[in-house]
Amino acid sequence: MNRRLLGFLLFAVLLALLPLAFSNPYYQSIFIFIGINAIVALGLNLLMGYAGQISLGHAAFHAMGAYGSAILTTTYHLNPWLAVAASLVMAVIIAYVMGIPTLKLSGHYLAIATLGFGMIVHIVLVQWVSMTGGTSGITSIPPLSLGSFRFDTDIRFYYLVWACCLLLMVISTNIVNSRMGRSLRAIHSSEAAASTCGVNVPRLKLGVFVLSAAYASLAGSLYAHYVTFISPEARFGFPFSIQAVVMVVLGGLGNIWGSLLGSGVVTALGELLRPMGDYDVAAFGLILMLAIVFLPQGVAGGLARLSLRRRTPAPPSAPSPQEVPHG
Amino acid sequence: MADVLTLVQVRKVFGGLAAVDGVSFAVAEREIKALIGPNGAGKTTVFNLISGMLPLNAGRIESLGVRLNGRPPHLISAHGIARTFQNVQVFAHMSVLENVLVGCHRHGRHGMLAAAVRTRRLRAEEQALRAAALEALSFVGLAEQAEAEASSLPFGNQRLLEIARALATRPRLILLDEPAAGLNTHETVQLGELLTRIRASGIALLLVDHDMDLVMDISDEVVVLDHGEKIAQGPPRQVQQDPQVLAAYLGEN
Repeated sequence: MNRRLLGFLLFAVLLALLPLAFSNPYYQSIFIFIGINAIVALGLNLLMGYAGQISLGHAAFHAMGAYGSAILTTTYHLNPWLAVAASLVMAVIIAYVMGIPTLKLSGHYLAIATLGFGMIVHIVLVQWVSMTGGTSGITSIPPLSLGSFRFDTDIRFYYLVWACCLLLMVISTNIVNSRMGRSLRAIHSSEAAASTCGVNVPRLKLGVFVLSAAYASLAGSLYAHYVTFISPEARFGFPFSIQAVVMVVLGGLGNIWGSLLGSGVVTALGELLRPMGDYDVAAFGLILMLAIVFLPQGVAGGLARLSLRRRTPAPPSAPSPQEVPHG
Repeated sequence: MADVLTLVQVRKVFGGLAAVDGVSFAVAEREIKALIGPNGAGKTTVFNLISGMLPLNAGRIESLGVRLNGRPPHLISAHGIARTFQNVQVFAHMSVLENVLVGCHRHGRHGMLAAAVRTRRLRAEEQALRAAALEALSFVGLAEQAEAEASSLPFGNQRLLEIARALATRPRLILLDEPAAGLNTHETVQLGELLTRIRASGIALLLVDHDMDLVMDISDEVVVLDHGEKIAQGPPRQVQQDPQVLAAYLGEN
């Protein structure tokens, strides 16, 4: 058994035991939000950290999952799992359609286009009252269940979220270490060289954009079925898009464990900053700036460098992406 | 013999200035053809047109009877035309082996979904791709550095890595944009030997370089460009004595 597999299994065991140490429901709910946010960050990291494309509109895909789940289960009384799947398909289709023109843009232009898209979706959530409930949102969203087992308590939902999160970690790792992942990193480095190697750059970019949207949508659905109440201001506007970017950058671009770390730090910080109200966005902006200046490889990269420095006198420049076993 | 590359009256205009103006030539199978000319003659532009990085304004580019112009770069690569870059473009933060594996990209079949669940077939395919990549690395003499990060290689080896990556696409033709630039005399001699071995393995080469010893030594034929126009074509010795070529290089009229 290699060390990475061991590390991953240890982490899974630690997660399984964590609720035993924290029986307080408040802490458990924070761990659940960390898991939900980590799923968004894992997806966004594939796009930003590996393919080098920036999205400032991922809250929109998160909203599609949450609202899709909410509307399909409350208005149309669909089975919650089917609602999750249907929302995911919808988010994938919308990401695909919107990605075709947008991904022809690069750098700042792509960021601005996704920013605009996020704003449009937010406005639709607020204005389309008959469908989305407007600013008052949607209530009484049913929980997910397996047979007669309902994921309707914190502890039950905790295991569901983290099972999803660990599965998506494995999937991300497998993709990153595959031919697709190599091509992603290649286009990050030189699109011209990658394309002459036979990589269909536009299609690959579109593929990873759609995949990252799927992650965000799934996380949104989980959120809706957990809190059972959603409204546009909760996490479906620009501030959440920024938070997701902060998680990825702070955790470490192109580092899968970093996405979990980033989600942990940002989610916990969000709780601490709660008394600041809307000003927490400013705090996140500051953290993003500090992270880029002082921790260009994120917390995960910084930690890796620190442990290497302790072992050997000369630290290498960049840590290689993590590897997790295949599922 | 069939031509792996044919340019017919190719023209490219940048803001009113014809960077490439009515250029025609062909590269035969297993031929080493050199494309030379003073700075700004349009050599790199010709490469960018062939590899699909730039659209052309007039003319056509074909390979074995198939029209290439108008196709995106990855399909031109799939048609068996690989290239290297004047300003080396290795994937800096990937290992040497991974760089070459990207060259193997189109020989893999699995997509994102198969990768996600890491099927058994995928793992077998991955083994085959690694073997092919290592073979390409051995061919250029970089097998021992397979696990090193590409950016840590000395400059000359980065050039070799680009060639290995091009070989990994299993091309019929490689476009080499100044492969000897920045190499010392010894490295240039080794490069010449490598290029001859590549040709011997059945691959044609179109070479742009300023190292006239290398060009004259290994090329079968030389095409000379000046101000975007072809001013001469022929065997190296003949071109070297062409008065128009001498004038272009020495700046006489």
